[in-house]
Amino acid sequence: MTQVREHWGSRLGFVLAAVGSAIGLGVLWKFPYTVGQNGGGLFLFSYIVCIIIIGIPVLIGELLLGRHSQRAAVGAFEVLSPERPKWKIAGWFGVLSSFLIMSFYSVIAGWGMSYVLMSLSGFYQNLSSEEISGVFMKLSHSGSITLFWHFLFTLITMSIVLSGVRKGIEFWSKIMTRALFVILLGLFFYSISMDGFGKAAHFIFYPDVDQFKFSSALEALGLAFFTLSLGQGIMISYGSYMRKKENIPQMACIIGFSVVVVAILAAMTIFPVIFTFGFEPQQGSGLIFKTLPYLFAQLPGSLVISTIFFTLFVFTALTSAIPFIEVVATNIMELAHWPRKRAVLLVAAGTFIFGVPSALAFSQNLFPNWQNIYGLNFLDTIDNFVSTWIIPIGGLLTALFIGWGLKREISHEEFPLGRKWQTFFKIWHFFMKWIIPLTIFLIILQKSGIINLDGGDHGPYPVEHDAPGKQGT
Amino acid sequence: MNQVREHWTGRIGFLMAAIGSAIGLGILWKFPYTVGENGGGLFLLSYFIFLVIVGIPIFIAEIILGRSSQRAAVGAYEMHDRKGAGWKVTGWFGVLASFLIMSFYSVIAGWGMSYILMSLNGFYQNLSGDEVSKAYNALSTSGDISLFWHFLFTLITTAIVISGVRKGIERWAKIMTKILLVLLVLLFLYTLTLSGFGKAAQFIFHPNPADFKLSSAIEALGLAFWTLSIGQGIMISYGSYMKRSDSVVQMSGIVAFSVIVVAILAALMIFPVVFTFGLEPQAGPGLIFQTLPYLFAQLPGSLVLSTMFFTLFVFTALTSAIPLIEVVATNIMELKNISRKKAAIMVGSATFIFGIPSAFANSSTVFPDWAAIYGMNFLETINSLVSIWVIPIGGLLSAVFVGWVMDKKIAREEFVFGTKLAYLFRPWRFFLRWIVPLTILIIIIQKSGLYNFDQLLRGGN
Repeated sequence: MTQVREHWGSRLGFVLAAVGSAIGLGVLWKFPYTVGQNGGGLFLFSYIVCIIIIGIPVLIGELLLGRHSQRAAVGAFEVLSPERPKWKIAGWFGVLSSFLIMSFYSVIAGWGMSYVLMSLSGFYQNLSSEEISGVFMKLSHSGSITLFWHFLFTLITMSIVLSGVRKGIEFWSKIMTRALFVILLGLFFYSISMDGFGKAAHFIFYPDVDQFKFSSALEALGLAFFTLSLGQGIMISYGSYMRKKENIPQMACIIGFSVVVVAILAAMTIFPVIFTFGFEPQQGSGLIFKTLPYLFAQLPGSLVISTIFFTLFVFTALTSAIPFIEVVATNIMELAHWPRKRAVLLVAAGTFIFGVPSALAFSQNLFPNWQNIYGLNFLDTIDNFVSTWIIPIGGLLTALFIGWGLKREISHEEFPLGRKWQTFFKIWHFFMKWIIPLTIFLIILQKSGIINLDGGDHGPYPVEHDAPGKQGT
Repeated sequence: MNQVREHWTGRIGFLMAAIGSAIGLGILWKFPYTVGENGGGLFLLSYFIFLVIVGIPIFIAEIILGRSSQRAAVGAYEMHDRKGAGWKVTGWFGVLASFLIMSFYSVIAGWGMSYILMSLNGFYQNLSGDEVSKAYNALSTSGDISLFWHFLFTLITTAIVISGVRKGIERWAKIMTKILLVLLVLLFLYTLTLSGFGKAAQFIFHPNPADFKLSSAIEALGLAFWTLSIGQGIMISYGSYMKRSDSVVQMSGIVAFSVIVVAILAALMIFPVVFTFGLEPQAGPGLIFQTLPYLFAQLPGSLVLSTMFFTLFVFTALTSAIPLIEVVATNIMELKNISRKKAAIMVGSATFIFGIPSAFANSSTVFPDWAAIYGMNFLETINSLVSIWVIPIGGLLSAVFVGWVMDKKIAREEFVFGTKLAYLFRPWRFFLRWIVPLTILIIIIQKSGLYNFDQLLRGGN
């Protein structure tokens, strides 16, 4: 490249962009439920352990790949391993997963935008629970309106990415991730005052040994992996915008820690509402678009709470969607030597078009027989495919490359000097070589249903038909 | 920017453009009804007060922002945001408001153009009230005809904006705002002769304390806010074309005063017609497109009367629509360094496309389930989103920015320039910092239905 690569304007900018990317819809609608169903405190503990021994090491690995090569995913593998160009397939896996996720993510985020508008007009304040479910049915089954929001969300994401790293991604991530923290804290304090808070705390923190199975540990592993935006090439791109003087391991720890805190906060915000009204814990779109709006409408200040909550939802989605487009676009920019504008426009048009069947998944205007053939509608099929196969395989290949393919000196160079960090490097390298590839391999086997480590009393990982967007990017 | 920024040729140019922008359709179809329903004279008085303590201070603030930075909204905030705290997002808020308003405004204005044509044809002169209503229903539910007029109106507005500040906006605003005032006065003189004039005057001016509630005061506050085109980035752009020798305070006072006069004239022109035929006061499209055409047809000289009225309607819409496109286009021009022509065409096309669902809102062909999901049709949804949320929040942020963030010295310099009213600087800044944000919060809370302030008094009794 002839041009000088754009870098983050500040350390804070990078951290907020990375944290915003990592905190995705999964943290809002999957994490709380999964924690509660898998043994509460024990699960939480094993999740945190997994973040430390798997998540943060892989995060460090991806960041240093990017920073050392100063390239996006595909180019990074090419530059760092000129003698074995096949490794770059790992980069393509990342690009593919980002593209596929963006295509349906923006449909779901679009519904979230629609709910902001509905909350602002106080629309569902006097509706019964069935009527609110009916409204969501209407919305998701109205192909034209879903497409409208899908288009708008893609357009907004695209305009942010168009403006570049500093003026686009960093600027807006700073604003939105901060707003996201503030909103979450505000809602959390509101939730503390509710009757159901104790019950929610019990559900999430109480260690329930009976519920914690071997598969729960793997579930925690999977979550640790997904909630850090790994295996999608995102952190390679974000690492490539980092300056040499930044301390990568330290940054990775800050990001990992923030994500854990936010995830727990989100759980402690959402579940008190549900328990206060004596509802059963749930997850997925049913929780967000049917149950919560109804419950919000019963609370004092419902207009504000509901608007704020869905703004949080949209910001969460947007800060995660920005890197999807960015990753695909920057790879194209580098490989085809295109200007940013052309690459971004092309990618956004691509994800929008590929997302059309997802937007029409419920109205079944397009591919009416999809569900009969694949068992899931189009949106869920893509979601399932990406989170079960593409991301884990991409992650596995990335980990294998960092552990085995990449010269030890290169990764050593990216670690800071000093005895403490040198010891840390040795441990890290050992993990990248042996523990991490093995555990990711186990996740793939369990999630895809090839083996069942619980010994057969449970089927393969259950698929929730009403829960699009299960993965936790 | 390497080019020299275009400025108004003179004070009259600015005044005509600003007044034309401020006098919008709301003054024709909302103001008269709102006054009458909320206690007449008492309401008018509170409207006047709020215009002075809330409307004018924000108006001044926006002009100062624009003139001192010589930039449109986004650039203006960016320049004065010394810590880089992201205030330019406020500028984008104004751009968003202008864009959204233009998208549906031109649909309604398009219907107005259709009524000029219908008036010239003498179309509804022999129709009954029901038949006139039916003609409107046929028009508004006919997606393709609405779309045609929507396109034509957007095209005219874009063409004016393309020609630039002096040759386009100023020249046309001068012509149209003047004609608008003349038409208004002529129609007013005509309605003076109608038998319902006294009743209309009574409805509008007679102070009726029973109807004047706390929510009425808030309604007046909202009107003071909306009728000055603030919170949309418009006055920032218009201020940036102002010369430094003009007094901001004086100009703002003249604009606000003109708006009041026009609003009262409009009320005194429309309601005598309604009362002459013994009908109930109303507001909105029903008043303009169903009731008035029928009533005009009953009056002597109906063809002329009706044509004049809808010309007034279209000019009102057009002088308000020009700055909407101008604001969005100039921001894009400055940020992307593209020519005025390119930017204006881009913006015109975008508002046209985004307005399509509004043009089809009544025929329900584009988003058939929209009303079932959002409780109102597409056009009304966008309208209420903008007027309840986007504009007040934009206005609130601009007041907070100029009052608290912007360098006081720059603000003072701009305020004091060319005026004898320099002693008003301190009161102005005080209002901007404290009174304005507080009152806007109250508007947002009341209008969005968060809390009804009428309960406050009822609870006290």
